Amino acid sequence: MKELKFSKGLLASLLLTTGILAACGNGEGASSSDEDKVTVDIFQFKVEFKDQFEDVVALYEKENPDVNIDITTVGGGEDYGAALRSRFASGNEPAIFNIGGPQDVADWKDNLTDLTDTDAAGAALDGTLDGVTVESEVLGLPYNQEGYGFIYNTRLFEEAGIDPASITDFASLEEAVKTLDSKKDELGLDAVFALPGKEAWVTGLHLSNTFIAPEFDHNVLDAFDAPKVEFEYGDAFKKILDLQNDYSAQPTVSLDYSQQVEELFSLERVAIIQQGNWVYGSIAGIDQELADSGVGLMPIPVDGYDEGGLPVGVPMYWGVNSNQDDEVVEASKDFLNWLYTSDAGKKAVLEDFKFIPAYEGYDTTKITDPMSKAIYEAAESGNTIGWVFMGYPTGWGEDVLGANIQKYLSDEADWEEVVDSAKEAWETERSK
Amino acid sequence: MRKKRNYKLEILGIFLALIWLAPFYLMIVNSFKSKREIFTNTISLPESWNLDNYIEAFQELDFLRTLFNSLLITISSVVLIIIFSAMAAYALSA
Amino acid sequence: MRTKDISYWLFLAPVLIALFLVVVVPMLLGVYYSFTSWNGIVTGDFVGLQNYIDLFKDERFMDALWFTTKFSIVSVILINVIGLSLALLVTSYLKTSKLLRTIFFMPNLIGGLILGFIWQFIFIKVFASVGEMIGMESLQGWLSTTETGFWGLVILMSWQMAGYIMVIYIAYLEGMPKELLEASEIDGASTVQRFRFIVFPLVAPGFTVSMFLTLSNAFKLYDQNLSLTGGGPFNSTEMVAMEIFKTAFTQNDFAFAQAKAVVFFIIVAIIALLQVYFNKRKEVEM
Repeated sequence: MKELKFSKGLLASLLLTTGILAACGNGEGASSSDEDKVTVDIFQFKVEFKDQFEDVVALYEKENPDVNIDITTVGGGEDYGAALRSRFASGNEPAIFNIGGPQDVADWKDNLTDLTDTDAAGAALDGTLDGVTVESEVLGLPYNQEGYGFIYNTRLFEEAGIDPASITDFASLEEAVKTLDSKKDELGLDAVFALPGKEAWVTGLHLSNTFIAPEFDHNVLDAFDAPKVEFEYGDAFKKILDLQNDYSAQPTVSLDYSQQVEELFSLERVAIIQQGNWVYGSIAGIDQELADSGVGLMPIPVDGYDEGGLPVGVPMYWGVNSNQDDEVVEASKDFLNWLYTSDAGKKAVLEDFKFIPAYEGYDTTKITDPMSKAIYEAAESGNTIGWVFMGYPTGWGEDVLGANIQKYLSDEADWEEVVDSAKEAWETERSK
Repeated sequence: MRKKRNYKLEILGIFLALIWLAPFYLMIVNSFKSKREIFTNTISLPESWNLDNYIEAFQELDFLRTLFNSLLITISSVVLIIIFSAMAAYALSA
Repeated sequence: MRTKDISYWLFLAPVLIALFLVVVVPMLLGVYYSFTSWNGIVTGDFVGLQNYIDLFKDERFMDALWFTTKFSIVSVILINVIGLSLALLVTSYLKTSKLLRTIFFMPNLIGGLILGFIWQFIFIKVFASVGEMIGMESLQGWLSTTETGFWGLVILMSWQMAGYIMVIYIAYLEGMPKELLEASEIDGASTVQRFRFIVFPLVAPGFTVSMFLTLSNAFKLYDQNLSLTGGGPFNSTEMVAMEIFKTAFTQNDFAFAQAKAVVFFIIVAIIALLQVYFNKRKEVEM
């Protein structure tokens, strides 16, 4: 009797195991259904435009019935890098993926196709390809341009009697801040600024970039190759940080993006925040009118240097995987060309994605929000500060400098210590 | 053995329960507020109970699909765990 | 004892295969990677013990280890005290006993990541509003200092896990022979004496289970850490799991992170074994 039960159990377990294994096998096979079509796998990271992007891709597939494009979106900086690595490790490599800057290019060099001959690369604006060019090979195509600075509330400035155009250097900024501060009660402000110390990317990457870029001639590759950093404009950096911190809603160390942009700025409880054009959606979520017509963007003045440049750069690039079959590589290039140089693509980039284009030949009057407009104008006139933070040593900007700045903001370290340990960390990282 | 109900303990229990429930209260109340109202009016009941957040969450999260995925994974793993661990336990115990 | 014939192994096979594939193999691979300079893309050179040598000089890792240890000690004590108190409360003769059990257990129904965000909202926004209302300065600026971050994590963890531990203690309390308690009461033992000499020793096996659960959970905490403080301010509330994750995925130092993970595993294993060993000796056989 016992023997019988045994063999039954055995049979059941064997059947089950085979069943499961078979099910796993099926799952793998199902994805390659359309045999005659070229399938391009896109693995991208910009969550904000996922829906619009999928719509555009659907349009492209309709125009090109022999191409099938699958999109996977994984959001957030760290998660994306990790997910991309595991995609490659698993052998299920995407055809198009995102790369951030020189470090990514160096890491992925063996997997990137030379895109120099593409129309899109030809149309890319001056300087936007610097970060992804290795030995005159263009290994990535820019998503778009973004820029940041001090975003201010135009109504509050007007009521305080400040003309934003008159703020041209640190002294006049300080003056304006003091004026605002003295009229806090009438204007209904909690404070003048909201400095998000918790967001190490705001302080450690963006703010620091404004003061470190001049040192590297605004060139991300120079920063990437530099064995050390001098903090030439460290004093100017400290001045701006102190100004923001002294006149900020407190405590700055735990102030995050949502509090800064949505709670304090969008509810008009502070007048100025250091952010970029990407906050448009966040502000619009609270107060559409404010986002459309109540804000302006001005540069962060670098005391002792050119004080009028807006930091503008390319946040992300598209790379094409060179390990794929030739026809997939060609199809990938075609798609990117279409996206950035065809009329339909351009329209989508500008109007649906609401991108500030990094390519020429766009009808820029279609850019509506005031921050993007300011950035495009600055980019056109060349009055910009480069984005070199993509060339910082890995993790240095946020984990070292940003964390040190948090220490400084909580009075756990003085400025000297912040700068010294950041310099030291840069050198150690580079000498590895 | 019969015991009297202890009212002091009863009250203590209810008091603790309220503390335990406070985060749930906040979570539920704020889910009915607009983003703007969450910032201006954190603790009290919403001015008007709006369902926008739920509608958006349902659409954005593709709730049915993700729920189905969770169910599929949970059910199949529970079935496997029960069968395989019972088998192992049988083999190891006998 | 049945002889270990072929059916014995066949019945064990699914578990063994699964264990081998998802635990043993990755762990061995991990140990191997910890001796290389793996960056997540290419395996890199074999560097011997270099990663392990660097690790003990890595201040951030050491800080995280120390913070985790402090956190674990405080939260293990708090969770068990609260859990046992709650269990005693809901096993006394209360009208609301069933309802209370449900309520105290409820936090376990929500994932750690979401709990972290809810409590972040409570600590930052609600504490500030309440503080303003009753004029308590100390409720302002929570999570902006290391201390408030620490206690924030402890409170969150206790609130979440106490209910779970309570359930374990309830099982032991209800399994206790009532005659013993009655006899002691007749003999004139006070409430404290009864707890100390009868309840406590009989619940001791529950301690083993609960301490093991809380300790390993506290040590390996990641979700709540990430969503509540994110390690801030200045990485001072970063716990080991998060530090390892950051080493791997922010600094792309996968091999180094792997070495840290191996060390972390050894530490947790030692603590868990020691603790089970010592608690076992105190248990009373029924």
